[in-house]
Amino acid sequence: MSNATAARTLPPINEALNRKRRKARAFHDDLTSFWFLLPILALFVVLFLVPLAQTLYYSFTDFNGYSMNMHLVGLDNYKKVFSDSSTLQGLGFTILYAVIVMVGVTCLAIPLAVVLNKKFIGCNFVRSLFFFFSVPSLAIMGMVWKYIFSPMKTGVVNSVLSIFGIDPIPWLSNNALAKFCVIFIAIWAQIGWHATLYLAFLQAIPADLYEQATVDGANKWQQFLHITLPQLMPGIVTSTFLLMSGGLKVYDLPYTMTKGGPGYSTYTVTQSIIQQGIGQSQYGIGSALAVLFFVATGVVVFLQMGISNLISRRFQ
Amino acid sequence: MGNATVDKTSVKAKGMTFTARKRIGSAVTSIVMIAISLVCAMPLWYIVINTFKTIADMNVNPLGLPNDWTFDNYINAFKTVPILRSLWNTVIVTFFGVAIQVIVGALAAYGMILRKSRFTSAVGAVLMVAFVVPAQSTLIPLYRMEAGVHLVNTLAGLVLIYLGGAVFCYFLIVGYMRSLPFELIEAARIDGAGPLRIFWNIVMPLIKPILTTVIVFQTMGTWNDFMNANVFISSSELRTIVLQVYNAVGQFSTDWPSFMTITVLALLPVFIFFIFCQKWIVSGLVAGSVKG
Amino acid sequence: MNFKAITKTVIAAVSAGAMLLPLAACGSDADAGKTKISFLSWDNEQVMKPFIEEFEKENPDVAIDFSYAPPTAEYIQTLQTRLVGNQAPDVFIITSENKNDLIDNGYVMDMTGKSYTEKLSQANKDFVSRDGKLYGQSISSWAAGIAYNKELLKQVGYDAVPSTWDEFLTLCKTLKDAGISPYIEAIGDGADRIPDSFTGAILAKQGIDVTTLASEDPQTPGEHEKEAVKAWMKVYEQGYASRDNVGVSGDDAKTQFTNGQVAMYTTGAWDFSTFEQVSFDWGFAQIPAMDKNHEQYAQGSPSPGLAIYSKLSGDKLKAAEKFLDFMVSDWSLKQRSKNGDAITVEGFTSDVAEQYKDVYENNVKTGKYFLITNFYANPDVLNSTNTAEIQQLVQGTITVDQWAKNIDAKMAAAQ
Repeated sequence: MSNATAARTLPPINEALNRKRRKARAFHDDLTSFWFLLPILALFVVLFLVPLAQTLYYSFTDFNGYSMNMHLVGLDNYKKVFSDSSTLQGLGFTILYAVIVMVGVTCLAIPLAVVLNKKFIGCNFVRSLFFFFSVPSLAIMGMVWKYIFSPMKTGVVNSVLSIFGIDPIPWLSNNALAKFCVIFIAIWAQIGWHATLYLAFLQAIPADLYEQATVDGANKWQQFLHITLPQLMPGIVTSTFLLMSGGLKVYDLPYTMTKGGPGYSTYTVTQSIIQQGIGQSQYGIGSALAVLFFVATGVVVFLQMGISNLISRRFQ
Repeated sequence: MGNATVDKTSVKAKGMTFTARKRIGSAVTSIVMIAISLVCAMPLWYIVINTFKTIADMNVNPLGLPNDWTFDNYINAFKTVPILRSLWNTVIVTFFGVAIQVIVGALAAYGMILRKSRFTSAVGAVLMVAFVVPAQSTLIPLYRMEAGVHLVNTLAGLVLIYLGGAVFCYFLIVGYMRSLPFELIEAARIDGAGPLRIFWNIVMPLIKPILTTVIVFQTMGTWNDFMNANVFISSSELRTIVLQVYNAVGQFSTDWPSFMTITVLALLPVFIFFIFCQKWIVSGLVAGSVKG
Repeated sequence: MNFKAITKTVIAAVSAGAMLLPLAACGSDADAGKTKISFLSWDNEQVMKPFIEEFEKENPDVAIDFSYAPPTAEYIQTLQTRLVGNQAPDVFIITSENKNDLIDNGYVMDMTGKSYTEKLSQANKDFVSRDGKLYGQSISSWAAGIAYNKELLKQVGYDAVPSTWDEFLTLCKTLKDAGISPYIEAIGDGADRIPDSFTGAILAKQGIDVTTLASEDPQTPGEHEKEAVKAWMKVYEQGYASRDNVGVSGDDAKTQFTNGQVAMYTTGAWDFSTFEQVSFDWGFAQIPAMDKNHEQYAQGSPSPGLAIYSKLSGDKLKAAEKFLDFMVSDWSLKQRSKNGDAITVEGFTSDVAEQYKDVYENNVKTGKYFLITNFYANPDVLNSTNTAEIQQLVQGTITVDQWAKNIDAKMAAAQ
C-alpha cells in the first residue's frame, strides 16, 4: 500500500526535480561550452574583429597608408572602386578561378585519397610527395612553372609536344591559355593537401559498413558511391568551403606567374586591393575594396555552405 | 595491422588465388601511383636537382642531371647565412604557434559539439568571417596594435599573429567531429569525468587523424610564411628561415641556385616531419573503436 | 614510437631550447654605451655586412642594427608598415616607388648641401629631389643595353650592334633570313626597355626638363611616349621578335639568350654574372638611337638612395650622418664598385666589366638615360598599367594610340 501511494505521489516530484536537473545541466553545459569557446573568441576579436573594424573605418577616409593624419571622405572611396574597369575585369577571372579550382580539386582529390588510403609499396612516399607540391614558396614555383610553360619552343611542355610533331603552343602569351595555366597549377598545387584532408575523413568511416556491403555483394564502385561518398560529405563541405574562400582571395599565384597578364587576363580582385592600397598609397580605396570584397565573399561562401549542407543532409 | 588480419581471413575464405590477385593489384597500384606522383613532382625535381649545378650548368641544362655535381651552393649557403640560427627561430615560432592554434581550435570545436544553442551557432557563423578577410588588408592595423604593446620584432609577437590560424584549425576539427558517430563522444560524457578530462583523454585521441592533418598543414603554413615574418621581424638574429631564402632576391634578378638551395635546406625538416606524421593520419582509429 | 611519447619528447626538447633562448640573446652586451642606429636596407646582409663592419671599426662608438627586406614590393610594404606603426628605421632606402609618399608625409630629412651629397651626380640628385631639396644619397646608376651573341652576329657579317634603329632592324632582317632568331625581350615582366630610351632622347631634344613632368596636370606619359612606342613596335610588326614575348619572363629570355637560341636581348648589368659563367662570346651595346636626329639614350635610372628619418636628432642624427659620410668614402665606393655597381660620384670611375664600358661611359656617367616611371606622379599606377597595356599592344589587340589613351586615362583617374 504505502509503496503504491509512494509510487503515485512520487512521479510529479520526480518530474519537477528532473526538469530542474535538466535545466541545471543545460545551464552547466552552456557554461562549459562557453569556456571552451572563450579562447578562440578572444583571438578572433583581437586578430580579426578589431583590425577589420579599423579597415572599415579607413574605407571612409583618405588614409594614404603613410600618415595617420586622415580625414573622413564619406563614400568617395566606394564610388571610385566601382568606376575602375580593371577591378571588374579582375572580378571575372577571380570567380572563374575559384569555381574551376574548387570543382577540379574536389573531383581529383577524392579518388586520390581513396587510392592513397590503401596500403601499397611506397604509399608513404607517394602520400608525402603529393602533399608536398604546394609547400615551396610561390616565388620559386612560379619560376619553375614559367619555365615549364614557356611559350618558346624550348619550353618543357613545348619540347615534349614537338616530339609528337605538335607546333609550340603560346602557353603564357595567350589570354585563354594563360588562364588555363594558372588554374591548372592551382589545382596541381592543392590536390595533395585536400587529398590528405579526405584521407583523414576516410578514417572516420566505420569499417563494418564496408564489411556489411561486401557481404551484401556490392562491388567496389557501388561501395564508393553508397558508402564512401555519403560518409565523406562533412569532408566535402569543409574542403569546398576552404577552396571557395581561398579561391576568391587568390593573389600570389597569378601574380607570380603572370603579374595579372597578358593584359588583364589573370588579374584578380586581391591584386587590385593590394596595388591600390599599398603600391599606390590609396589605402582608403584599398580598404573600401577589401570591405566590399569581404561582404561579397561572405555572401558567396555562406550560400555555398548552405547548399552543401542541404546536399549533405539529403545524402544522410 | 588491420590489413594483415583481413589478408589472413581472406586466405582462409577464398584460398591463394585471392591473395595473389590482391598482391598483383597492390603492385599495379604501386607502379601507377609512383609513376603519376613522379610526373607530377617534376617541378620539385627541378628545384632539387638544380641545387647541385652551377649557374651555367643550370642555364644550359635545366632538367637533366648535373654535368659535374657541385656542392658549392650548399657550402656557400652555410657560409653566408646563419642557417641554424634561423632554423631554430623557425622551430620556436612554428612550435608555439601551431601548438596553441591547434589546442584553441580543438577546444572550440569540442565546445561547439558539446552543446547546440543559439549562442554556439552564432559563434560558428561569426568565426567564418575569418576566412573571408584578405590578410593584406589587416596588416597595418595589426602592426600598429602590436607596436602599441611592444610586441613587434619579437618572436612572441610573431606567434601571436599566427594564432589567427586557430579559426582554421577549429573549422577543420569541428567538421571532423561532426562526421564521427556521436555516440562515441556522448558515451564519454556519461561516466562522470570533468569536461576537460574528457576532452583531453577521450576526444583528443579520437580525432587524431584530423589533428595530425591540421598540425601538419599549419606547420607548413607557419614554417613557410614570408609576409608576416618580413614585416614583423626586423632584427637579423630573429629572422626565420624563409626570410633567408629571400636574401637571394635582387631588384632585377634573383640568384636562383642560392634561392633553391636555401629553400631545400629550409623545407627538408618539414618534409621529414610529414613523412613521420602521415601514419597518424591513416591510422583507422574509428574503425577500430567501433568494432572493438 | 607512439604518438604521445613522441609528442612529449618534442615538447620537452623545444621548451628546454626556448628557455635557453633568452640567455643567448643576452650575449650582445658589447653594444652597451654605443649610439645605436637602425638601418633598413634592400641589399641583403651578404652585400651590406662588409660596409657595416668597416664602419663600426672606424666608428667604435656607433652600432648599426641592420635589417633587410627584399626589393621592391616587399621592401615598400615593410617600410610603409613600420613608418605608420611608429617603428621608423633611422636610415632607410628611398626610391622611385616610395619617394613621393616619403616626401609628402615628411618622413625623410632634407639633406641639401650636406657633406655626403656634394659629389653626387646631377641625375642622381634629380632622382630624389623635390622643389630643389634633396632627400636621398644615390651614388650609382644602372642602364640597360643590348646584349648580343658575337658568334651569331659574325655569321651574318656583323661585329657590333648598329647605332640607329633602322640599321638595327636591317640587322634583324639579315639574321632572320639566315635562320637565326634575331631578338627577345621580357614583356612578361613588363620590361619594354627600348621605348624609354627613345623617349629620353626625344625629351632631351625638345629641351624638356624631366623633373618638371611630375607637376604637369594632367599627367600624359602615354602621349609623351607614343612616338617612341610606334618606332619600337616595328620590331614586332616586321616579325623580328615573337609576339609570344608577352609570356616571356626575364629568366626565360636570359636562358634563351645564353643558350644561343636568340642573337640579341635587351637587359642590364644584373645578367652579366650569368653570361660570364656560361662563358660564351657576348657583347653589350648601347640601345640604338631612334633615328639619326636623336641621341643614343638608354633606359636606366639612378639606384635607390639612402635617406635619414626626419625626426632624428642629437647623437643618433650625428651617427646616421657619419654613416652616410662613410658610404661615399673611397673605401665604400671601391667596395660598391667591386660588387659591380656603376658609380656616378664625381671623381670616381668604377671598374666595370669590359663589355659594359661603352654604356657606362656614354650613358651612365653622362646621365643619358631615362625611366618613365621615375618622372611622373603615381609611378606604381603607371608601372602596373603599362605592364598590362604594353602586353596587349604586343599581342596586337590594341593599337599604339589606344595604348597611349588607356595609360593617360588611368593616370587621370589616379590623380
